[in-house]
Amino acid sequence: MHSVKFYPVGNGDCSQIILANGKRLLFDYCHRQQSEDDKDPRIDLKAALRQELQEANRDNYNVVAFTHGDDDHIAGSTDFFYLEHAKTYQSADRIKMSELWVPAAMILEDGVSGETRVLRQEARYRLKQGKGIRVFSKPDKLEGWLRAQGLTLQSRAHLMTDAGQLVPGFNKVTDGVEFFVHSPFSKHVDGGTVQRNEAALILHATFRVDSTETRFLMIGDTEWAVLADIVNITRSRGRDDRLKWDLYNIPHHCSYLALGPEKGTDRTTPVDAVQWLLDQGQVGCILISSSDPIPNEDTNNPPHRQAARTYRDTIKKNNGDRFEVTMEHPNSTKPKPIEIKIGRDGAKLIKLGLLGASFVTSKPSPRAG
Amino acid sequence: MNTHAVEGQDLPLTAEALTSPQARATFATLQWYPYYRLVAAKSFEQFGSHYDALIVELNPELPQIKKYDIRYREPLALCFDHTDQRLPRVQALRKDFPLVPHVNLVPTGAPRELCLYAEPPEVVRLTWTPPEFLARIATWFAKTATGTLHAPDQPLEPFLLTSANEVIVPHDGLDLCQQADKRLIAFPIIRDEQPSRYSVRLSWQPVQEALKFPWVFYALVFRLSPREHGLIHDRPRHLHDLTTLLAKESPPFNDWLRAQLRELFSEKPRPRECDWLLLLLAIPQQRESGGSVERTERWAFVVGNSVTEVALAVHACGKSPDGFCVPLLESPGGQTFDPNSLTAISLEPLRVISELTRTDANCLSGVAPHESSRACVLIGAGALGSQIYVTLARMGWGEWTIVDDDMFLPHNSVRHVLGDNCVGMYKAHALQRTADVQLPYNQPRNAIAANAMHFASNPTLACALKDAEVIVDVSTSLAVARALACHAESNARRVSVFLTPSGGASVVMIENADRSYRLDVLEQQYYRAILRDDRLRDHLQGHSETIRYGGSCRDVTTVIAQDDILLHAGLLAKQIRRGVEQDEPQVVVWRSHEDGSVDRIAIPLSPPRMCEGSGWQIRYDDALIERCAELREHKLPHETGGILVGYFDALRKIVYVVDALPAPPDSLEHTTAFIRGVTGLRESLEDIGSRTARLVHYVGEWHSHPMGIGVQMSAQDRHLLQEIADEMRFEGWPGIILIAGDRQQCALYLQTI
Repeated sequence: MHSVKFYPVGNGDCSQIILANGKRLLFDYCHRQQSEDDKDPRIDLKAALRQELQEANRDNYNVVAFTHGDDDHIAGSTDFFYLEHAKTYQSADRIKMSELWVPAAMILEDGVSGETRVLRQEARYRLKQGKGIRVFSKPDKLEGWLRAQGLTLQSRAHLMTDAGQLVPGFNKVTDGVEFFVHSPFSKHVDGGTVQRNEAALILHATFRVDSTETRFLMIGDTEWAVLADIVNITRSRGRDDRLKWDLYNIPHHCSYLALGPEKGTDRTTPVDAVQWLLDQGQVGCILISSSDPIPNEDTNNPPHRQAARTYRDTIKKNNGDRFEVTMEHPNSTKPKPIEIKIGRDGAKLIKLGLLGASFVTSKPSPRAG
Repeated sequence: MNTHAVEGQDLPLTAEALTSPQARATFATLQWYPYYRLVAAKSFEQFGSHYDALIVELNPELPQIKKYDIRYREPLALCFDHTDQRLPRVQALRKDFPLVPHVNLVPTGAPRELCLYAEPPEVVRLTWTPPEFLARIATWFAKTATGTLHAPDQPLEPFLLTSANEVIVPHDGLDLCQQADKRLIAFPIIRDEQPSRYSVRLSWQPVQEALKFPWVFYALVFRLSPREHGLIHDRPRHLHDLTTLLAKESPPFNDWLRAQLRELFSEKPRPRECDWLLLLLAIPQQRESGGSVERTERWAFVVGNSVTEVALAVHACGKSPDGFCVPLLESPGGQTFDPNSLTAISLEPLRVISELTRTDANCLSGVAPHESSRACVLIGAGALGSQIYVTLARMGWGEWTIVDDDMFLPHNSVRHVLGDNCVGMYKAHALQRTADVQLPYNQPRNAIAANAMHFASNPTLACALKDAEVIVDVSTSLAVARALACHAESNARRVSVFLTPSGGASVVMIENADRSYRLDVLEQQYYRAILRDDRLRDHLQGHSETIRYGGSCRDVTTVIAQDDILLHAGLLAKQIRRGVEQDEPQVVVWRSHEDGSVDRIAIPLSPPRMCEGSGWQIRYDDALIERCAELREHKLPHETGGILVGYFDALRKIVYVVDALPAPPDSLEHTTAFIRGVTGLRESLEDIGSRTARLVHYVGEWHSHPMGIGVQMSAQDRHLLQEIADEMRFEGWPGIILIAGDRQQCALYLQTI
């Protein structure tokens, strides 16, 4: 049985795949210092992940993927992970990343600062070392950068995966999962400036348990135009299967922009290609919005209630299970990680045992005075 | 979605609109509890009770592939009795809700009701809270969807029939081939204070028996074809429902019923107008469709009309001109019933409960089959014996023969399983008679009212002992225990149990499997433990009070409370059960204390030894030799010695040497001679006598020889033995000396005058 977890980090992203064979893949990281306060509803991600790893008796992830370099996807990561490129980030209690996955943009972006820069340095270091990294897409700019480092594209080609390919290192037979890359396309970074959200990593995971396949569409912060591109390209290649989903990570904290150009009054109308994508949700499908609770009123920033309405309709229309919001699960005062079990009977959103004594005793108690 | 409408009056969605406190509390919880959506509130009346109903939609935890068709949105009615006297009922409102295990039986067409609790309502109510209730419903759905509510190793779901009344069916089943003169007849057991609550006891009886009762139920058993378990949930309301439900069986139910009733009315005597009908359905259950039959579920219904009326309604019989109910001939092509006349014949379901079988009793008590069939003889059916016997027999442990020649007298009632109705009877016979009625699944093999010692002249007794695997002596008589141990012809393991005179301690002695430690030897070592272990100092001290119940000298009984008897009977029964499972010999003492605590002392046992001379046997053991060797070792190169204590069995000419005492301080211990002193000896013997209820006393002398001398008697030793024998003659006993030498060598010499 595999499981997928989504952590309540507010308007941010952090999810984890734990495979039946024990391998762990963490996608994005967002730890805010304020969340360490018991009064803050957001999870103390650092402590929670640490506890999980401790229970599993390990100090590393097989893969840590950053879908793009925005703050809400990397916040606090340089305090948490062991970084190979500089001693400052190598204290013994840091969590190791056996393999780092980044879109090419994260290596190529110039003029960045803060944690984005630190992670860029780490990715560049690993790429130069030629190990512990996977870069998604190989735009011309990357070849240029490598040349500047005295390296050839060919010498690093095995560490790069393009859209339309499967990620090496995982397969349905030994790991029970394969990852198909939808994005980034090289064109996303070969323009004048790098559009982070457009160049973000989008994967489609297919889990297999016995003969049951369960599909997880993992979309970072992506807008409707990119999604439409992906749908059109994938369909034109006859790979509709790679767009079917049982589990869907809603892009950009339930922003209407992931559906269409107009927010709408009650409901966002998706562009045709995105509507088609939503229609690929299978019976019992689950939509996860990694965001703050859905507001009742109209707001400028995501989550947008109009978009939420569209996703709720999707669940109803597809005879799905649930549209779940990380900061509302199971309630908005004290949200808890969402866990989806994936087994021979498909995906199952865990709803039992989230409340009461069994949960209290599964983690350290709040601070007593 | 096609759902059952909840009848009744709409209520506003406020807590105040609800009457039931549980409903209000649940209403409040639903405001924040996840995965539930409150849709509406209603109030309705059913069977004279008023209910609040909360209509909710549950989003259960479901995998995409489900064992049963549970949906992502399930409409439910949570129905709360206004008085909160019952647990809330939960109805699944979807009309196409699947047939799943663990739902309550409801009348055909009614919404399915979840069976949420295995515990009785009064227990559930102790911990019932609205969140727990909602969580339990959510769990029910989650587990039902995955088919895990019923664990694979759990027995198939028993028929969950919510009926106030029950029928007890015979342990030999409903499957006996009917004997010509016997029928399944049920007698009602009506409880006066509550006439609507009754039990029906079903048994195979000659038809004539029925006439002895004012009215009875005739029972008919219909056998269905095998089916998957837990999947029949419609409760037939009347005979028409049942005929419809079973129309596809072979033969169809109505044909079968008509044939059965026709046959019933062809017999003499016929059912009377006042007799009723009980219908039983036997439904073979499979875990999965097409699998093997794991158990047979049984349903029972009391038919609301007399057997005569039913026979007429189904055209099995017709009225003769003189008003008798006579069987009709089978009309060609069968007959169809008038549905209306069958709708009028109501069915009241009964819970079906089987009589206890020996296997059930074993299972319920954790007794293995080989223990169950062990042939046992109980010697002594007194206070302790009767309680031990009943305790073991109840569990289906052992097949028993009861031996006791005593009569039950009024004062026995205080500490016996039997009571005043048995006064004047032999205890053995009375116990057997009581067991026959109370424990029909483990009736005693036999009861012999004879003195257990008289096995030589009582062939029945001799035979019972010979066939036994275990003989349990509770006679509280040394004579019996020793006679049984030494003489009775039997390979059975002997067990002896008794209470000490004060009733404050009990003892069990169990021979080892190959009987190399016989009861008499265990008794001997038990005495040594009393001498050596200070915890047992007062073990055999009697209770001072005795009570006379009759005029003769022997009509004395002691003061022991029944609670003490029961406490020790339980401990002893358990030890007997465990002890005979092991091969080793065991002697165990339990002491009960004033504060209610009980402690257990396991007596150390030592390999027995025996030697013979002058027509006597001397029984001793390794522990005695070790003691002498130890004392000798301590004094070498000087000799040492002391007295031997033990007892004699004149009947069998056996000396039991229990222990050797160290030399009194005024003894002379030379390198070549030993003269035993006397200082403190009297006190020692007094202590020994008092500890052992005067059973253990002086039996002889012992002394050690220096190194390399051997254990042969010297001239002096011979003289000593002669002297002792001369003295002991006045008590009628032989003289005995023991000589201890190197390497734990020792020799015992006995001389009679």
